[in-house]
Amino acid sequence: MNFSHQRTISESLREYGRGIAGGLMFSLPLLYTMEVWWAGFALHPARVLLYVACTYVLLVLYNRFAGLRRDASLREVFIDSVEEMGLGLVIAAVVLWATGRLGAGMSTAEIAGKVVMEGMTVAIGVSVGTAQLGGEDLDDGGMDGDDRWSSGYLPQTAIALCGAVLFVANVAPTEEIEVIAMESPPAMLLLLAAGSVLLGALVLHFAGVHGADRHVHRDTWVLGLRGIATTYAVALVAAAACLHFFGQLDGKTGPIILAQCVVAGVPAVLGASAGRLLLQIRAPGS
Amino acid sequence: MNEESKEKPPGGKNALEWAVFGASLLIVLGVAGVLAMEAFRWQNTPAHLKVELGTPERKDADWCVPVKVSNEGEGLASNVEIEVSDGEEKAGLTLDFVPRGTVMEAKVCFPGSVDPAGLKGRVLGYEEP
Repeated sequence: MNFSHQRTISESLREYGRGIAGGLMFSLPLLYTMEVWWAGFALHPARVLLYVACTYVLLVLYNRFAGLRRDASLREVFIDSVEEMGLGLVIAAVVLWATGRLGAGMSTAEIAGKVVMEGMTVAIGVSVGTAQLGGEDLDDGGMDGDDRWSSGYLPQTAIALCGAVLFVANVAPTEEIEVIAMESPPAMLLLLAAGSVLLGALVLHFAGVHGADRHVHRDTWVLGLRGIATTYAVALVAAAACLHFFGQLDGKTGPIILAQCVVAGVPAVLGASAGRLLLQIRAPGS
Repeated sequence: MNEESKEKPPGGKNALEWAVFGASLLIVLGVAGVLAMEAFRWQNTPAHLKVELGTPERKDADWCVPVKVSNEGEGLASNVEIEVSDGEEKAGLTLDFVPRGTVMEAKVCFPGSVDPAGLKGRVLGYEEP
């Protein structure tokens, strides 16, 4: 099996420590959000299972394109992603138990649902924390000819998706998104959508955010426009997916669903642009 | 790459990492298994609520009756309103949620005395979110 260099026990412990810190840091708002607890027992188990599968794909994408180990084989990326998912589930279970959200009288399905709905965001946080919170472990060798840290279009799109999900998952389960969507007139929603696109353009091209010079294509105006359009598209996809997985689109009509996606698209676009760059601060050359 | 890293042996996870991976794999597969089983046996039936009353307990000047509300259906019930009566007095409570397969425990209190033999509990109504 092709693995990265072997770490000592103390190095591994430091990595897990960073992962736990990152997991808690990025998912704390969700761990304290009632709607997420409710989603755990209100949703059909098949949807929760699909949420697990989608999160695993996200973890693999993040670990492949922006993760800690530059010398990791694809197989090791799969293994690391399982580890992160396991840690995420354990952290979520401990926090839910400590805050009195798990207890006697609950069915196995309810406990599993609650832990999974919380644990998946924690897992993404664990992955990001492991990769980005470290200070000195930039000594992995890199796979021969591996260009995964290159600023290719697809890798950057994948990382943008991770960033968007990480940001929008914190607001998607809340009723506020639905309230804003239902109360906003179409003109305001259009303004929100235009504002989101402008926000993405500002972050990627004008704000001088760390890493933009390496990861944002701006050789021609066509490439620049493609990047902005892709960022907003990714944000809308992430918003729709998170809203769906938290059951916020159930029973809604088309116009309301669209409005909810536009409203949730604001934090999502921030994640797909600024979040995307923050998620790869420790890329080569940084 | 610094000098220290060049000295590190290539290949392989250490024992701790393999242990964490093994435990993680078991947890993930276990959770996925539970969800898959639940999805497989899922029937689209509405919530089916049952109310059970316990023995009244004296609490200061009141008598409090333990109430157990269980949901034996598949659907989720929210804002569940329960009424307990001893034939003369009535008391009630509202539960935010009673998920499938769950037993929720609560208490309703009556001022003064209560007739244990005449106690009856029933569901007044609930929402199906």
